[in-house]
Amino acid sequence: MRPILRLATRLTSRTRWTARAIGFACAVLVGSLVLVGGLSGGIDALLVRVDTGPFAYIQGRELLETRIDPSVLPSIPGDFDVLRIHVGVLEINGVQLEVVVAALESHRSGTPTAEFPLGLDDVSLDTGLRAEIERLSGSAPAGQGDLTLFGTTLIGLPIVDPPPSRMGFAPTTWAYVRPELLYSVDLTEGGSVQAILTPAPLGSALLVELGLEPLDLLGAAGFMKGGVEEAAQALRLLALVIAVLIGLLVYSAMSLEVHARTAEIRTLRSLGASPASVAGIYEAQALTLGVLGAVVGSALGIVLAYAAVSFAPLVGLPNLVIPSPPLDAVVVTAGIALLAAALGGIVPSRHAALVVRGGRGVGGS
Amino acid sequence: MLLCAIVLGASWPILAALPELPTQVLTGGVYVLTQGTAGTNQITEALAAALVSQSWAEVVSPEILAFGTLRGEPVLARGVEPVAFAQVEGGRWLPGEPASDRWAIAGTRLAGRLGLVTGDRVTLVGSAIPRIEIARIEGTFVTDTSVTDELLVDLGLGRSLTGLDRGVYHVIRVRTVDPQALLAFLETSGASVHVSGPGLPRADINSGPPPDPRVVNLLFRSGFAGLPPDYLSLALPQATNSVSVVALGLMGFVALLVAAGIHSVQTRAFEDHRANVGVLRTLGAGNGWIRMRMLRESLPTALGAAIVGAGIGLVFAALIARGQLVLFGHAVPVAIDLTSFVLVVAAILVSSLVSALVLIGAALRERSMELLTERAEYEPPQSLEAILRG
Repeated sequence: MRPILRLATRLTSRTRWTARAIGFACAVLVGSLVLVGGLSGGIDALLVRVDTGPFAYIQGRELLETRIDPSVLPSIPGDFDVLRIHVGVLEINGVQLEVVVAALESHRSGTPTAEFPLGLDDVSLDTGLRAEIERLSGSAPAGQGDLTLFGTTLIGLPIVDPPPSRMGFAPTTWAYVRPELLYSVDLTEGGSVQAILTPAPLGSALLVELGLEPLDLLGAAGFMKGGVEEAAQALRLLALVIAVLIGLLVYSAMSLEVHARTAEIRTLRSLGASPASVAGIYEAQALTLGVLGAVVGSALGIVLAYAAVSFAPLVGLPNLVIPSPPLDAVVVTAGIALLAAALGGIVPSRHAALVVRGGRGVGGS
Repeated sequence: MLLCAIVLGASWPILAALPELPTQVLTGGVYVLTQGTAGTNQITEALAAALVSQSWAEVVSPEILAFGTLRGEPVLARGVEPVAFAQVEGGRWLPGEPASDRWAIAGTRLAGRLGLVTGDRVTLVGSAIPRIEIARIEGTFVTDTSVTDELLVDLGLGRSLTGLDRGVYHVIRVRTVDPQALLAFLETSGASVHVSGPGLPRADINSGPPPDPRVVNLLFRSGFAGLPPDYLSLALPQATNSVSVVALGLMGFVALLVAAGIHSVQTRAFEDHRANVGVLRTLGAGNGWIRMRMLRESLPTALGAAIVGAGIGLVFAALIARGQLVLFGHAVPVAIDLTSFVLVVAAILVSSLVSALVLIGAALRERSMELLTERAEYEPPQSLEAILRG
């Protein structure tokens, strides 16, 4: 084993340039990952300085399509609010209009309460919705209206004043009902929860367990985070290109190495080395190139990325990038380099194993 | 070398297209007015109305920009006035111009990307304020500009998403063939605005230049509340510059990577031909002649690899672009043209020829006998003999 390792770790002028090229490829990948990760870190650092509203969680990507089972609510720690929201049709003052119907339920110390509206059948119209009805009908909203929800029309519901307080993120054009009204119309649809609102972020393990996704109520934050995620996706393409490049570089270098060392391989085989041992030497040499390239390239990439971030303000460039220790970037790059090197070395090492002792093998020298 | 050309051909056109993105999104090839440094709320209904009445103003489109997310993806929701907007963009509404008060219409590429169809109800979130709005998709907007990646909403919904006051806009876009008349009118109007557009990097009218502190620093210091009134015009050049720096940096990285790859391959290939250089010199060939011969021998291979590789790379770039390479909610406008092709081929050729000259130069500095002698590879202590002897 020891001779194999020592043979595998030889660096020649043939392989030295390959190791450098792999190192440079790894530096590009690590540097790019560090910069994009740093931009994401910078955005997170910025978002703690602005009012992003409560933390909202939904299932999937669309609030209206979310159906959270109310039975999971007891597993949410601390105080939180539950939002049920649907689109209905309100008929009032002789006009018919599509409205957003919301029911807000507070969970304090494990007890759910709905503060408004007071009556079980009441429909509270917010100020903007009242103004819209007045504009369309020419008169203030009547005391009763018909509301169609989940295909069922509820006739003669009492229309009451706007809510005394409003969630900061809610527009003035919503209608509010009690959660009980929604259950009574359709227990499944009306009982399901569309969003959970918490004052502090929920743990990622709980989110996975409950199948919840965060919904950024401050769009600029979501826009920036989403944009960085798109850039990260583009970097995955770069990672693929670099993996192919490393694989081909290793294949090319190891093919030449096997070709140039045919006589040495014959000697090894004559001395009793098995084909597997010979293949192992060259596969290990390919891996050595990958490791060397990954280590040197990662270090170079980190230095270049940090230098770019540090010197950018000196030349008047905006700098929202706050890099953090790039463990993930290094692990990903090392993994790609090793995998690509291992794959690139398979064919040359197999050729090496096929060199027969004393005969004309690969390269024929 | 072929692979290097493919990498360069696939990456350069995409990276070169990136810096155009922010300007294209905000100005769209017409003149754009944004808030200046003096006073607040200068981009108003009154200013838009005054512009409309000018004979040189072909189209005036007041707009509100709400950066947000839609179905988890970053999307720009643009509050617009339908008639003026369709004219300034040269697009058309499907099935027709929105008639209701509250509407949301998806650009065709956005609709395709997110699977939005007419009648869908979508959740929109606020831009600079926490907000939830539910909107119904009323149709699509057909255009070949970057607006095809955006969601268009009525101005009321735009205000709700941004917290902007009634009668105020983020930008007014003006199409005119007489930008000097536009600037002169704005001077007399008293409005404090920045103007930019085709052939006009930025004109500060009744306004100082954007303040020195950068948007990012202001955001870090005091959040959104610390932003100056003209943050939009301040952010545009900074966003453009930042994207340019990142794109140019990545182009440089890729170019160096490709150059290193080409040199690596040529170094190994040249190792087998070092003795030939010694033979030629022994036979009396001059250094200049050997250099020229090296270039002549390298050129066909490099040219072939560059042409084929650049062609394949550009096809990849086109496929990537067609597969919608989206950054910050907008498809990157990749230009695949003869110039891109020639640039990539030239870059590969130059890399290859410079590498060849470096290699031959190093060889020519050695004596002929050294070149002719089978060069013993430097064997480290791990050489076969040393290892077998223990």
